[in-house]
Amino acid sequence: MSKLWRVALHEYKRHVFRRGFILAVFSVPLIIASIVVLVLVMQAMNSDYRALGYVDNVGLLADPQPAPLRGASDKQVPLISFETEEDARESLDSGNIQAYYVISQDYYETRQVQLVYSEKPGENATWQFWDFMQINLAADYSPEIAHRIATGTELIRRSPDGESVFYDDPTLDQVFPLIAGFAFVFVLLSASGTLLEAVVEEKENRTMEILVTSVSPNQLMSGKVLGIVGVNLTLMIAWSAFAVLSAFIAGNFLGIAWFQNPSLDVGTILTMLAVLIPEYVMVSALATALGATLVDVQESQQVMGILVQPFMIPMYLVAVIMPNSNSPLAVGLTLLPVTAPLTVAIRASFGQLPLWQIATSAAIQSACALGAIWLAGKAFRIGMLRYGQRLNLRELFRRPEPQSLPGGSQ
Amino acid sequence: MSKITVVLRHELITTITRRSFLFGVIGIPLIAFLIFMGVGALNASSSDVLSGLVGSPEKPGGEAEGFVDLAGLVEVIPEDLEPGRLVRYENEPLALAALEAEAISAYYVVPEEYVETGELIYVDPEANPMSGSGLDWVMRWTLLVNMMGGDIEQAGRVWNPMYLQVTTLGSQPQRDSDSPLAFAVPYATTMILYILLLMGSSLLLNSMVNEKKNRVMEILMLSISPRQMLTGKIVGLGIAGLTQAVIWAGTGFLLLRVGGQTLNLPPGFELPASILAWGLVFFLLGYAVYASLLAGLGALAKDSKEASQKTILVIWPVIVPMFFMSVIIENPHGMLATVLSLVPLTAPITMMTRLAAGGVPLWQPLLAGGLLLVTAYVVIRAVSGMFRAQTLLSGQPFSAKKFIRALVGKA
Repeated sequence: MSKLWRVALHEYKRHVFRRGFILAVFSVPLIIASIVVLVLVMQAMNSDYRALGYVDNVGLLADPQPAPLRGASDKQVPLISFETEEDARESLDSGNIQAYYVISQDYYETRQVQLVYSEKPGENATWQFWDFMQINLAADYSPEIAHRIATGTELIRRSPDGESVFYDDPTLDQVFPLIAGFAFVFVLLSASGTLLEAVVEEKENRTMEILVTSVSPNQLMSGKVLGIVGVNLTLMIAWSAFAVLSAFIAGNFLGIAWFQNPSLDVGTILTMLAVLIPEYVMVSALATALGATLVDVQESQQVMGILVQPFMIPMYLVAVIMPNSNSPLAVGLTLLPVTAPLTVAIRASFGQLPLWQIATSAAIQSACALGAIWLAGKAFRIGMLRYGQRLNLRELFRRPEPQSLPGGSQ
Repeated sequence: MSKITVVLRHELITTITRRSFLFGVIGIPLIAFLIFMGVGALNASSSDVLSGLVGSPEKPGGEAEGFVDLAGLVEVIPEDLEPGRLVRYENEPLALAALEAEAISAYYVVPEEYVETGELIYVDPEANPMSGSGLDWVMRWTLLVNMMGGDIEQAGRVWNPMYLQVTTLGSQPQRDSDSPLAFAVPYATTMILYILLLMGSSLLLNSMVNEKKNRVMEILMLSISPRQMLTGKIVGLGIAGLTQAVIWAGTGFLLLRVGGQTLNLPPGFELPASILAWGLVFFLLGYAVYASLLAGLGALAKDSKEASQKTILVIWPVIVPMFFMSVIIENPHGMLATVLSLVPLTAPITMMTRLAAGGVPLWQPLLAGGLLLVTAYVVIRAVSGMFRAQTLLSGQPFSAKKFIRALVGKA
């Protein structure tokens, strides 16, 4: 037993105590942060707070009501009325306004409005003018009604049992499964890559013979798997800590409402775990089996590149799965072993995930995991000492014959 | 000289007969072709099988929906809605019963304080915020008409207050940013160049590392100078990469031709020939720079694992424009786009994005190409200086510092 732990500890230390791991820990939060910054920058680039002009030829805006504010932090663009198009044009040419609208004389019949600019006006400005038109078209009604008309309706979707409620803007606990699912698949794939390499490595540098003289193949393999599970747990814990910390800072210090009072649904977390844990075991075992059949590290990397693709299928199909989360396709992908994690993540975030599907999926994943463990043990025993020669599938499933098992017949 | 051709021929033949390369060259365009044809076939004949597989199961109750008006707002159902589209229920239990009896597919609840809060509840068995079915406009429209006292005409104006006619005064060519092609064409061009550039360069990296790994390097060094080997490898693999590029471009061209109907491309849409010419120029120059840099990495790296881990250190300037791609396509003549397209290391990708977006003054690609040419010359010289037996044969781990020192000839 102590040998197993020794292998596990060695494997853990080897991966965690090096620069690459620290880089991996920090890189993902860093990438997410830079994407957030990029989105904010792009949003800012699409906004322009210079004034906007308009020429009203029908008297609709004679006594203008200001456009309603969209949010507490909404900054308004000044709207300037011009008597004639020439005045507006002059102001545009001198750079005082970013664009101007001309409401045509036959507006009430045609709704024709002309927009004149030399550089595309900011989206914030064009939206504000849209709201401005709406509130003034409704100016004859009571202020509350006019305000409601201009700000519109927020649709709250609810399932008949009242269990799931979705607002127009998804809340943190709704997108949680999605984020967790993607993080999980990322860890899963990097884990299987590491495992694959770990198995091949000793074969490649010819230390396997020496190792198996003092440790049994089972101990060696279980130790490696345990060590790498530990590495992944460390990574997951580090990322969760990052996520919790940044959500805490964003909610309590920056006052972003989205992060305040997050409440995570226990049912959702259990659903995710029920599918993700067997999936993790299965993929680790498969990676081990594959590693045992391959020849060197480079080949294992190429194989990983292909192996990753099926996991990504739900991501490629996300545009189809999200809007139709109960389609036969989505249900099928939920049940299939490799596509389950991401599909469950997507469907748990957006839509309903019936209990029978979760249970069936979890059962299928568990069965596959058991099969994969059996396969891994066998592949490892047969392939362990085979240098420079691939193990083929037929050999793997063949009934063992003592003389064909160079490493396993001890 | 003859030694260079030997290396060249060997690299070319081993590369293009490799199965993975053949798959990349023929398989990927073939798959793309099949997908395009598939999409075309789907468009042409409405395939019920696929939409049944991908789409949501049909809602019981059809398009009819119910509503419960707790705010007392709804007096009339707008005349322009089909009769039976919206059914009024006095309270929620009645609506729920109708939903369960499949008389309606979903129902709305207009809360008492609707006018103050604007919240409208939509009770839907599917309750999917991403659902594309989007029937809720029916209730929104009904509420709007009723808030405006049944005045459908005025409500229509509020619903959509303007039909915009846009007049632009700028001197710069205005992009029709509503057209999906305005984004798709530069995006596809950039992606293709990006993939070709990286694939071509990584061929060189792998080939270097392989030679080191199977300890052939020592033997090779006996009969060939490092510089001859590098030249042979760069040119040989360059030809392989170019073959791939030509086949891909040919397939792309064919797809655009065939796809004229499939993808509903506007008639007369064509990629200007100049883009292909510039694409060739920037591919070759970009390849010369990055392949040499990666060869340098391959020469210094200990093994293939390290080489592939450290690739990012060398190729990050190619990735930077990919990050900003949507900004560059939206605003191809902005500060960021112009600077990135002139700086040699980011130029191949960015300039192609801008050229595909259109309206770039001729002097800019000429200048960028010139600068890139100079860079390529400097880099090839520096890297072949790096190819000394001493660096090639040492098994030290790779570091960025060592790479830069070797590049300037101080290692």
